[in-house]
Amino acid sequence: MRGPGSTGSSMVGCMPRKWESAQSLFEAARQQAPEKRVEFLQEECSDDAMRQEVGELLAHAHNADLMNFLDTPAVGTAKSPTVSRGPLKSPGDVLAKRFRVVQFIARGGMGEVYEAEDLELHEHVAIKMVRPEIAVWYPNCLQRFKREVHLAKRVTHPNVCRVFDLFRHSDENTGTHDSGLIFVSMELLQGETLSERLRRGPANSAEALEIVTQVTAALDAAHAGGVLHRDLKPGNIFLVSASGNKSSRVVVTDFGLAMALYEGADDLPTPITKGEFLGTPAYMSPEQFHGNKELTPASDVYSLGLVMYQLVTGVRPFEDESPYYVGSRRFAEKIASPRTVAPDLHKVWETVILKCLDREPSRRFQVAGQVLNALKGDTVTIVSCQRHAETQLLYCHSSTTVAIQKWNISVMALQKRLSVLFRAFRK
Amino acid sequence: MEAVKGEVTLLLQQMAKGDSDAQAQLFSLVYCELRKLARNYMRRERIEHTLQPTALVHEAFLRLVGSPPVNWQNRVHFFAVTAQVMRRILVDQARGRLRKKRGGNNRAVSLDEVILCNYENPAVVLAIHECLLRLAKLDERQSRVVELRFFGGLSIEATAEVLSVSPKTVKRDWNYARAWLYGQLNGRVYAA
Repeated sequence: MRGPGSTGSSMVGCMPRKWESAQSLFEAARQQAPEKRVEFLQEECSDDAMRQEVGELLAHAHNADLMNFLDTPAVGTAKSPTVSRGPLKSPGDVLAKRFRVVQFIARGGMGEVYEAEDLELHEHVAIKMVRPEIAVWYPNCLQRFKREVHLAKRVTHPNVCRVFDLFRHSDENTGTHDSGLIFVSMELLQGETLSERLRRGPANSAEALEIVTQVTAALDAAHAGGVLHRDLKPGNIFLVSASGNKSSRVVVTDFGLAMALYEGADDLPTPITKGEFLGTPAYMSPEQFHGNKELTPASDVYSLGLVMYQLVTGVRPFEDESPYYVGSRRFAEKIASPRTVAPDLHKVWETVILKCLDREPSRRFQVAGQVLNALKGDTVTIVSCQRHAETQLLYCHSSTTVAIQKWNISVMALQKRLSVLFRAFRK
Repeated sequence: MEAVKGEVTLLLQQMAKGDSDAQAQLFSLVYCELRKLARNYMRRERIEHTLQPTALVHEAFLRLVGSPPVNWQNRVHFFAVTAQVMRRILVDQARGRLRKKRGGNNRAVSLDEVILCNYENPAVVLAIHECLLRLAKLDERQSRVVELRFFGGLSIEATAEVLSVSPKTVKRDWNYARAWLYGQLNGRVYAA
């Protein structure tokens, strides 16, 4: 078997210095405006052959950019599976002796989503199945997942997708040693996800504000119930189709669930993105990425910031995410203001979004509702939340929630004080 | 299995320090593992999977390196090795498929096919591979950048980490190599 590809840089037959000069020239010329490049080359380079070669390369580079040449890796992405298989279940299949599959809806982060009829209660629900291989590879995830379902069930709010229950289906035909399929029944939603909506372009201020209003309401409701989302993204934000004169409802789905499935035994989150096994959730906060156990609502606020960024600009701050996750530039580099992409964006949006995206959790808005207040022009809130916490919610993986109202001490001191208390409490 | 995992982590760390023997060993390990997993998939036909190379690589990662906590630099280096392995596997696969067709000589690859990411066409993968071999003689690092990004799907930052250079350098290499490859593939004919 041949070893790794060290083909040797013997450079026989080539002149290394020329190659390097060509590169420098190429790079310098690229910095020039396209119409000035020919002139630039003529001034900077006296060697005809090199000038021609670099000129050609510049043209190739231009075309390569236009055509997204080599931008799709050969190893395949979610968009181009090597072999594609149909959904696991077909219409008419009955699961757990209670739910009859109506139709396949989508492949989601947790697994497949179906519409099903509850044969007991005679209503239609959404069924989200947990991918069997996740249960096999991550033995402790089910425990964690069940706890999240337990928490999620308790949150009732019009902007939070209702979770009903968890079921296990044993299928004699699977032929594997799995202990059956696990699935969750939840509210069936008709409409489209925010990611589908954003494919048609960014939202205007009115639409964006409406969406942020409802999403922050959802976040606050869940946070008050002791539930963090940990995987907030446009794919988890559902825009329910409006019927008649009713305004459209925005629903946030999968609170805590998706991330619970991917956590390893040590309580440390594994950065994995939906659909691919590898990849960082593109909306993950820095503290999550670095395996911080003490996540707070501010982590969801960060993700909210990214969603808002995309909402008003139509793009994510860094598009350079690959199918293999290995790291994210937005943690290392400063995020460019959304106004660089959308110059007409109101300054308030810019300020609020960038504050949500602060790498340091304590400098962000601590409560989702504050984000909305700030957008609506409550400038007092922007200043005050840096120093006082009106409502501070503390989270840890035991299901205890503590809500402290109107304490006039700094957020950091409060967190430190309480986390010490909780550590002692947990022992 | 546990012993192997520790060994792999150690090799990854050595590779990060520039140990080429460690890299060679890793290549063998990853290659064997991926081949084994691919065979198992074919045999068991697990219908809940779409057979994506990314899924295979993930499984290989879990088996060889293990579940978290994993140092993210180890991950990066693991996927760098994976890039080489995937290149090898894809190229072998492409050659095999072309051989099955009639002798497969001088199969012309149009630039359009490359642009359209028609990786179903084995000649496309081979054309890129062979161009990369030529590029490596001119500038090995550039060829590595393309290999990592194109066969490994690594981001700019990850590539920078693997090659121990700055992301700026990677970007420059990528831009230049891409332009060069584009020129090479434009209107050329490639033998299988």
